[in-house]
Formats: sequence, structure tokens, C-alpha cells
Amino acid sequence: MSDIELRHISKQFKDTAALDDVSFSVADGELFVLLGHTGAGKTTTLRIIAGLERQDAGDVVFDGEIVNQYTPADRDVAFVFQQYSLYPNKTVYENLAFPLRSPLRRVSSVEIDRRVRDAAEKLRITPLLARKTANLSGGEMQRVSIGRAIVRQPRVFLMDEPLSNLDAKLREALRIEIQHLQKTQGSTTLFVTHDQIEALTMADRIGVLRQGRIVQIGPPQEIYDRPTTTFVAQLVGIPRINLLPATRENGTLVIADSAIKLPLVNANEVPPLFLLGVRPEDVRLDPAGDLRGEVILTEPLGVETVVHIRSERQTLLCLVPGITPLAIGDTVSFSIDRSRLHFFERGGQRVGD
Amino acid sequence: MTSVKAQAIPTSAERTTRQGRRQVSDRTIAQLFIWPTLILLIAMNVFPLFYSLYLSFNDYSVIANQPPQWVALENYEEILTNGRARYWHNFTVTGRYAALSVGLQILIGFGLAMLLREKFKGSGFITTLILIPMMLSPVVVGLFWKLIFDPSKGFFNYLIYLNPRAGDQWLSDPTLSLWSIVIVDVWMWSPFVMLLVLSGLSAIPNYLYEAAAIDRASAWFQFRRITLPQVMPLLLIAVLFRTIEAFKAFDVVMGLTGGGPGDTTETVAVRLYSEAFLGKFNTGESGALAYIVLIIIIAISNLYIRALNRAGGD
Amino acid sequence: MAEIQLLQVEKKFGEVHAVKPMDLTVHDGEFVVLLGPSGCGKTTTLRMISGLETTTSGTILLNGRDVTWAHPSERDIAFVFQFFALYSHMTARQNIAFPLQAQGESKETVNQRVAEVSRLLQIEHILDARPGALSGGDQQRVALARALVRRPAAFLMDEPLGALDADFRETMRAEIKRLHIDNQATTVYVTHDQIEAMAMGDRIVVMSAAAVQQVGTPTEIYHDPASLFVARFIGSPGMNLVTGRYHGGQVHLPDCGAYTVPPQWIAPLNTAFGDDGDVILGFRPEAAQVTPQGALSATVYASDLHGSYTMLHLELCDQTIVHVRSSRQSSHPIGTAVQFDLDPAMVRFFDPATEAAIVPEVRA
Repeated sequence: MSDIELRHISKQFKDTAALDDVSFSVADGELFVLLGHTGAGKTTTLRIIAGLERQDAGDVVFDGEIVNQYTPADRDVAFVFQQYSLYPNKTVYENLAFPLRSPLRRVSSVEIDRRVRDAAEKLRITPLLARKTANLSGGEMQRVSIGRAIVRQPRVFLMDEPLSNLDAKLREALRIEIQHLQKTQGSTTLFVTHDQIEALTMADRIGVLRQGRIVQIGPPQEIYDRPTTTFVAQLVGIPRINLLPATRENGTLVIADSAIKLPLVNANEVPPLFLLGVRPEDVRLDPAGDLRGEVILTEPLGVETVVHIRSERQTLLCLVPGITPLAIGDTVSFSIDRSRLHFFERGGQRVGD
Repeated sequence: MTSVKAQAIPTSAERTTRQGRRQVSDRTIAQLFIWPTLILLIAMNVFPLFYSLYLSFNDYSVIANQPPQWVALENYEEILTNGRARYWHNFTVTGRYAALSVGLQILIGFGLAMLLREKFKGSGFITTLILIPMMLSPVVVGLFWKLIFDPSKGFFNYLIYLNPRAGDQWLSDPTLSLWSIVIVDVWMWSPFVMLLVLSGLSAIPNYLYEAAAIDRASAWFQFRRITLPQVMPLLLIAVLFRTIEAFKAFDVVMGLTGGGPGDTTETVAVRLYSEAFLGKFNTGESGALAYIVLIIIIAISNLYIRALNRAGGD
Repeated sequence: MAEIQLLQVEKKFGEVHAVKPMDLTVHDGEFVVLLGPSGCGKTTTLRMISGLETTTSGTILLNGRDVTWAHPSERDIAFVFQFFALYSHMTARQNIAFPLQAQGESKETVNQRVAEVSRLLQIEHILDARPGALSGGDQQRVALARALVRRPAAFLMDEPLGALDADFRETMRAEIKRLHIDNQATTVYVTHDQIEAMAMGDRIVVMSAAAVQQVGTPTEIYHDPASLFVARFIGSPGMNLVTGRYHGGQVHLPDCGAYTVPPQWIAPLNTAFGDDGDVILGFRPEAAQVTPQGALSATVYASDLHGSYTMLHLELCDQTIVHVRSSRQSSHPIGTAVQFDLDPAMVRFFDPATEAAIVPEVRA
């Protein structure tokens, strides 16, 4: 496999900057996830790497070689699209074999057969090989699409939201399989998604893209635990992080419009006015806790329950395990894990650690 | 993988030459396709357009065997002063004709569309039948309506009075002649309006009516508040197309009345034809008239398009 | 407000059942969710309640009144559509006013009620915008306002959050539930999203293949699924289901060890299978713990971080993948062999032949 590097890539569409000075690299064998909202420039980035789109400035580098001038065919990347672009009237076998039949490649038919069967085995689609792809389910079709990428043995895999057309259960199953496959094969993969769960669960590293700019790059744990901006903090984690305007008053943290006060340890690093980020799992129902609030809503999800706690005019989301017996209107005591607080400037930038 | 790569990927030198050749040939092919069309367009459209504009500033007749003589705005002056009364008459005839036929077409077309909106057995066949007039040649239409209107052997009067001999002289009665042209135009082009409205109606999502049913809206309330506003953009397009066509009304008029009796059905286009050809060959002045008509049509279209943008603004 | 009753309500398209005969009572003020995969008949059921769809047979009662053949406008219900069904050529205000104007309410009443409802939903600032210019969330708020403004007896909602971005969905979910708590209006809500159903419903009706699978509170549905379908469908991921052989008070998994059945399950399993029979063992991801003393063995297939916890995906000997929730600090490289154990209070058993849950003894 290869490593990829993007150096200062910019791209304009008419008057809007689709990408603005985007740089990152994907190491050989790494699964790198580009995470961002619709229109953030994720797909454009992929298309530039594949050579389907030409950047206005910057270089695309494969294994140290600048490949800007290469056509998509010459770059030898595999692209898995959101829509499974299969030939409906051909069998699964023929679809898998198709990329290898190109006269340019000159792969012997024995070799083709070996590789097709090998890919089918890995993706657990061996029983489907003789079927026409038109008769497959969505999940099966996407497996075949991925299989078609695998048989080529390309330099890198580019995946553009391959799971987003599947229903929740299938998405989960296929996600685990892609993960397993990628780890055991060690293939260089750039995976694009807007789904934070996909990003957190699959990635070796995540690049967060916002309006054409990279805002943070790091391993999932770091993105989740140390988001550099409020944007990233809100992008990852379900339910969403509590983000509350707060003030520092004589070494005490006071959440605006609420009765919540906490002692501040690192008082000096925190500006007088700031935004406090608290992940819902770090708000704990605790009979000994010194904070009080009223339950205004409970959302049982099964494994856990989202409890909406109100203190004066602020609402705090709290995640408790299991299905809670709490009723709306109950007063609860709770505490906040002070070691896991996030501080942001009012402008959104992270402060301190 | 390395060995596969060596087979599959050409060296970078190969790559550049192959690419270079391909790009040149692509462009050549594109040009091969574009140039004949472009030349034809210039010869048939662009050149005549500007040449006729030039001629409209000249005293010139194609049969006079004399070179064009520059007279500046004299032709335009002539039309707007000395010839004014008769030209004004041509314009009012055209205006009345346009207003009547477009108005009736909208009403009838809309009505037909509302009827054919619900699918029933044979509705596809009936729609096709209704569309037939639109597909006929206008000259043919003019000629056979001439027979239909004929007071002695046509069956139009028979349809109305159940007696072919009792009826009106549709084409030669000055009070009815314009109406007969309107009737033919409505017969021919209401289906066009119907087609546009039908496509507009089918684009209204059914859930809007479901929501309205839940909201307890009456049928008339639904029509007024949902159907009409939703179809309005397409309705305006229909009006625009039909108005422009009405201003150019020529072939049907020639086929039916030839502008008569007298000049009662002499539309602008018919007058233009008689100035430019019929014995007179007054090329310069007819060029000027053609340009005046063009300006009026552009002006009207602009008004419509502005209304259209407002209606479709959301 | 209103009580809705369905008595043997059935819908057929030709010979195909869209909804098999079903009974359901939605109590006054209750929030009932119809949940199921697409094509299971949940939307058809809702549309029959609204009158937008006719029934093939059966009776629909609204507050005891037979409305089976009544026109939608005669049922005094409001319907919220998945794609909002807003009138695109009208402003938000005109949209909200529409149901009142359609009934010929006076101008003052209309203005006053529109102002009232838009304050409640906090959409006063967008009243003059057209739907096309609004975000999905705001469009749905306008649609909700249009439903609320008439003060109907009951609300019917057809996947109202289905067309929204994930971000909005979470917020709107809480908003709608909060609105219901304040209003106490009888609501029937259709969704295919089990998280939404769990979070919002007082009771959930799980449907599949045109038939009702189970009716119950979120706790019942989650912890005591009546069938394999419900067990798989609820939860993300769903319940782990492992096929084994019940024999001598143990469930033997092929080559993966044996699980000793908790005492309270011995009698019901004996009743169901005698002393020897195939059984499906079910457990939620949070019911399993990876521990060296665990009786069951597996290899790590994949593992992933979910922010606040780690999900381990373990491969059993028969290639079944089971999901086990563990702390976020735990790290298990792919391919390592692990042992795990189950919380005896959280295991369930299913009969593979009937796909139904084995019912535990009624504890006195």
C-alpha cells in the first residue's frame, strides 16, 4: 500500500472556497477518517485525491511522488461510492472480476479467479458469487462494491460515505467488518463520513473538516477528550456535549442563569467569561452531590437514559445507566466530574488543557 | 503488489504522451461537431438579422434593382406618422385577437387539465386525442376550417343551428371574421395550455391536499389557496408563449381570411407580409415594421418574465 | 382530549396484507409510538386512524364514536407529515393560519391563535419566511404549529423527524416530547428509529410484516422482548443472540464453553425443551463482562470507541459476532482470546423454532 499526503490544497467553486489550505497525511496502513457536515468539502477532498477533480493550488503526493498530473486511472486508487455503482445485469463474480479484466492490467484468468474468490471470502459473499447484483440487498451490494475495490489491490482506498444508504443495523454490521478487514489487511484507507459514530469507532486518526478547513486532526480519543473548538466538541458525542455560558468569580465557576457553582482548580488559565463544556456522562446523579436540579425530561434509550435537568434557566443533559425510575418534576442531586471539564473562550477556542 | 503495479501502471513518460494525444484529439472532435452548426447559424440567423436591421434604415426594394439608399429613420417615421392610422388598426386587431384567444385558451386549457388530472380508464387515449390539433400544420388547419366555416357546405353552422343554411357568414361577416380566427386558434392551442397545466398539476405533491383535508379545507378553498398558486408559474409560461405566438399570427389567418374581409382581420404579421412581398416589395419599410414588432414582443415578454419571477419566487 | 380505539382493523392491497387485523387502545393523553422497519404497516395504520386511508375491515373509535368511514376533516385530528407538507407558496404565518382560515375563523382569532402557538414553539422570528428558506428543524416547527393551532383532539405524527439532520433530530425529539408533557394531547407517533421510540413513547407498538409483535413500555420492550425480532430490533446494537444446546442445566455453545443457566430459568427451560433441545441465549451488550474467570470464550474481532465507552466485538467459534460493552480504558487488540461472563439477571432465552421468548416463572 501507499501513503498519501495533501499539501496546502485549495479549491474554488465559482466564488466559494470549497477547500482552503488543506494539509494532512495518511500513513501506510492507516485508516484516516474525514469528518464534517454536508458541504464541508469532504467529498471534494476525496475527488481531488482520486484525480476526478483538479485542485487550484497545492500538491497531492503518493509515496513521496507528486501525482497532480496523473489521471484517475494512473493514480491507481479504489473509490467506493455512496451509491453502489455495480453493473446490475452482471453476476457478483463478473462485477468483482471486471476491474481486473482491463487489458491495461493483463491479469491472467487464473489469477483473476483466485483474487475474486479471495475477496469474496473476506467479505463473506462467497455464496452470492453467481447471483445477479440487481437481486441483492443494499448491504450485500455495498459489500460487492467494497469487494470490487479490494480485488484491484490499489494503492489506497477512498470511501465516500459508503454506509450512509444502509439502515442502522446493517450499517453497524458492515462498519465492524470494514474495520476488521482494514486492520487485518493493513490497507491505507481514507474514509469520509458525516456520522460521528463511524468516525470515532473506525478511525486511527480523524481529521475534522469545517467549511473547507481542517480544524483538528488527532486520534478519536483525543478528538473526544480534548476538542480544540466548541464546533468539534459538539460534533462528536451523543447526546451532545452541554455547552454553557459561565463566569469565573473569585476562583469559583458560576454557570450563567443557574444555581450551579463549582470550585475552580486552575483559576488562572480560565478567562473571566467563558463557555463550559460538560459531557453528559460526566454529569452524575449522586445523592451526596451538592448540586440540585429538577428533572424536566427523561429519554430512556435502553442501555442508558438521557435525563434533562433544569437549574433555574439552564438545562443540563445527564446520561445515567439503565432505564431510570425518575419522574418528571423530581428534584435530583448531582455532581459534575471536575477532572473532565472543558473550557472554551466565548469565541469557541479551547482554553488550557 | 509491487509486481502488479509494474504491470498495471505505465511509466510516467508513457503516461504523458498518451494523455497529450488524447487531449488534442478530443478537442478536434469537439470542434468538428461545433463548426458546421455555427456556420449554419451565422448564415441563416445572425446575418439576416443584422442585414434586415441595416435595410430598415434604407430606402430599398428587392425588385427595384437599385442599391440600398441610406435614409436613417425615415422608414420608422413613415410608419409612426403617415401610415399611423392603418398600422394602428393592425395592432388593435392583433391585440384583440391575442387577448381573446389567449384568454379562452387559458380557461379551456385549465378546465381540460382539471378534468384529465384524475386518471380514469381511457384517460391517456383521450389526452392524446385532444393533443392532435396542436400537431397539425397551421396551413392545413386554416384550409380545412375554411371548409368547416363554409356557410353552404360546412358543418360549423350545422353544429350551432342544426341547419347549415340558416347560419352566419363566419369568414366574410366583418363582425364575425376575427372570432372565427380566434375559434380556430383556441381549438388548435388550448391543448398546449392543457399540457402545461397538467404537468403543473401533477407536480403538486399529493400530501399538500392530504394536509389540507386534515386542515378541513373545502374543495374551493383548496383550489384557490393551493392549486392555483402552485400552477401559476406554468400558467404564466403558457400565457407568455401564446401571446408571443398570437403576435406572430400569420399562417392560420392567411389560410382562413387572408386578412379580410377588408382589413378586419389584418394582423400585424399579415400586414408585414403584404408590405414586404405582395406586389409592393417595400423591403426597407417592412424591415422597420418588423423591428417595431420585435421591440414590442421583447417588451411584453419582459413584463411577463418579471411577473413569472415574482410568482415563482419561492 | 381523546381516546383512540382500533378494533380488528385490517388493510389489504389486493390480496396482500398491509396491516393484519389489529387491536389497539391509545388512552387519553398517552404518547404511543408505532415502531417497525419500512413496509411493516405502521404508516398505513396511522393513515387509517387519520382517514387518509380507508380500512378493509374493522372499526376505529374516537372517544367511543365510530369514525371508520368519516372523512379526515370530520375526525378532529391533526397530522404531522414526514416531509412537513408545508404549502411552499405561503409564508410560515400563512401556513399556520391555513387550518383556521379554512374553517372561516375571524381575523382576530386567527392572529391571536397564530401568535400564541408561535410563541410556544419559539418561531416568532421566522413567521414571514417561506418554507423553502427555513432549515429542516424550523420547517418541522412550523408544521407542528400548524397542527397545534387548531387544538385538535389527537395528534398523528408520521416520522416527523425522519427528514431532519442528526443534530436537529436530537433537539426536536426532546422538544416534541416536552410539548406533549405540557399539552397532554393524545399522540400516535410513527417511526422506524428505535432510539426515538424508546426515548419518546409512553408505550411502544412494535410492528413487523404487517402484524403487531409486541406492545409495551420502553422497559418491557427493551428488557423482555417477546420475540427474536423485537430483541434484534431494539437497542444499538441489538440483543446478542447465540444458538446453543440446552442440556443438564447448561447452555452448551459449540466449542465455546457452557453457560450455567441461572436457577430461576431452569424450570421454564425444562418445560419448553425437556432436558435436551436447541435454545437461543440472548443478552444485551451491557449484560456481559470480559473477565479471566468468564465461562465463555471468544476472540476479539474488532473494538471501537464510542466516546464514553468501548464496544468490543467478539467472534465466537461458530463465527457469530457478539457485542460487549466495556469501559473506555479497556484495550483488546484484534485477535486476542478473551473470556466473558453474563449478568444472570439480564439473560433471556428464545425458542429457535417459534422465535418466541421463553416466559420466566411468575415470581410471587
